[in-house]
Amino acid sequence: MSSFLYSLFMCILALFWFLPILWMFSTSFKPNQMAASYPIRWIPSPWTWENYVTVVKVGRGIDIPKAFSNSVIVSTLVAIGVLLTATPAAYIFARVKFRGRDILFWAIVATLALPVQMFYVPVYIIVDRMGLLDTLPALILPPISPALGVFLLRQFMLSIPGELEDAARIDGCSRLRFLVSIAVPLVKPALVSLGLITFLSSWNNLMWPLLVIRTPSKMTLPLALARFQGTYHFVFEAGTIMAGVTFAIMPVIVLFAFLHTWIIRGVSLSIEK
Amino acid sequence: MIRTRRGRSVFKAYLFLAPFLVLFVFVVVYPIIFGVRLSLYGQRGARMWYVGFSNYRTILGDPRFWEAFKIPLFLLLVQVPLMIFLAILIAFVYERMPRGRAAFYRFIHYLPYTIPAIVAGIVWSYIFSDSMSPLRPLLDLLGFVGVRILNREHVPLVLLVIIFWEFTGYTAFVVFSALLAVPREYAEQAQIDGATFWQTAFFIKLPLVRGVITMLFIFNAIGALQVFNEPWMLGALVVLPPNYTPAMYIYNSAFAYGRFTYATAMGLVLACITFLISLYVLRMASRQLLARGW
Repeated sequence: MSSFLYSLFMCILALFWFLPILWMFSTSFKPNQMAASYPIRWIPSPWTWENYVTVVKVGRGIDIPKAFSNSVIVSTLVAIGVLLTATPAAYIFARVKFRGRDILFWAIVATLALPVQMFYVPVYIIVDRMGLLDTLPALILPPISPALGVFLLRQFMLSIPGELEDAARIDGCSRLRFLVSIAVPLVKPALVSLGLITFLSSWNNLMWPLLVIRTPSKMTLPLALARFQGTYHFVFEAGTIMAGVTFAIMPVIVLFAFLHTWIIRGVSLSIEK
Repeated sequence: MIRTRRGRSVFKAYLFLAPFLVLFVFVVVYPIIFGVRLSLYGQRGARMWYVGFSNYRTILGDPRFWEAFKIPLFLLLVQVPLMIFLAILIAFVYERMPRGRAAFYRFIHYLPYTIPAIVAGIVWSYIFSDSMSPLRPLLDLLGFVGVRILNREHVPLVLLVIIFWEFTGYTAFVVFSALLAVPREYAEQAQIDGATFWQTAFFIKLPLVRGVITMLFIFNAIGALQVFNEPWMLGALVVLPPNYTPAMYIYNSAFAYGRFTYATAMGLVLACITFLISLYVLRMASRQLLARGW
């Protein structure tokens, strides 16, 4: 009985989460003149690919496939940058005592509370002076904020038994080798989660690209989608808008479907150990 | 001999930190110092001159800045606690369910988090639009024929629903992963002593993950104070003032009205407010814990 209630609770919530996505998906396959009709047909008939053709053929000059590849490049580089810099730093903060370590660590963590808005003007001027406005590096470098990564990874690094490292060090294993071949595999689930969070926050960022990018061919996905929505008619071309949006998010949802089970397994395994 | 080894080891430690520190100084520390300096300048067009704290005095008396906090305050007091409570409930239900089914629901609930806010904004603006809302038949059925769904009074509620949709699943996931780390023996012992599942959940397990809950409160409070994407998107459907949220006001001041130094000063004030609220949450959390003897 109670198990039925739980399932009902979860089902209602899942509907709340899933129906907008389903609506988006089904509208994207409707001819534009059918998109707004009542009652809503959840399975479009007639079914059409014409909206997707418009998206792929760069209708009205908004190149969503190009924006997609820009976003993939930018977000991947941001995630790699954060992982490469945060991992060794988190390891040091967790394992090596040096003067002022704790003050430095908490000062770094405190910067997480700073609102992004505070950085826009100064970073915009810095980027402008470096001549990087309207380039992809401007999208990659400033948003790399490794502080969150150091904070999260340190927690996981702390859980590695100290004896493990002592034993490895006595056997002549250098710190670098210990980090690369023992510590990193042990905290792999945390690294994947951090990589994913960083990737997504860059992937979803609208405000910063809005400021620094002008050229359409350099736009990232959120920016291109905002322009896409502005270019097509909200009601009479809703099918096309939904196709653009669906095209943009589907690959990430599929990728995530694979990673998700892996992350869960990773997290629960690392805890059961 | 020992001393040199130790010296070398510390030097190596700095070598590990170096890439991080270089990046951190470049993208965080230097912009902060630069921003503080900028905020002390008056500006008209490209001309700048030193004015001391004059920008800050102007902000203190700028009603448009303080009015912008209505939305973050609403989110902070209503949306954040509700969402975290719901997320905790969901996380416990995950624990209760058969593994496979729980994993399926976790996936569905987490999905919106992977979707860019701009897309959430677009899709939800359809759902709340007057012309083609899928909710229309439901509203007609309930007797609200021809009632406008999206007007300015409803925007805070619409924001609440959208933010709920985007982040509840993620929040539940975070709580759930924290719960996985709670040793099983605690719950088993409590249940042997006759506690029900929900008693065990709220009185044994929840206190053990309080650190994570506090962090969630702080991160969501910061998010509420900085809310930008969702109202910016809704601005395409409803006329919203340029100072609808602090982030929008800062953005518009700098990049629509060209008041760069004033916007920077507002950013710093917002930073201080965020800091104070985070500290307050931390203190409240730790005091409550002390009072309960933890």
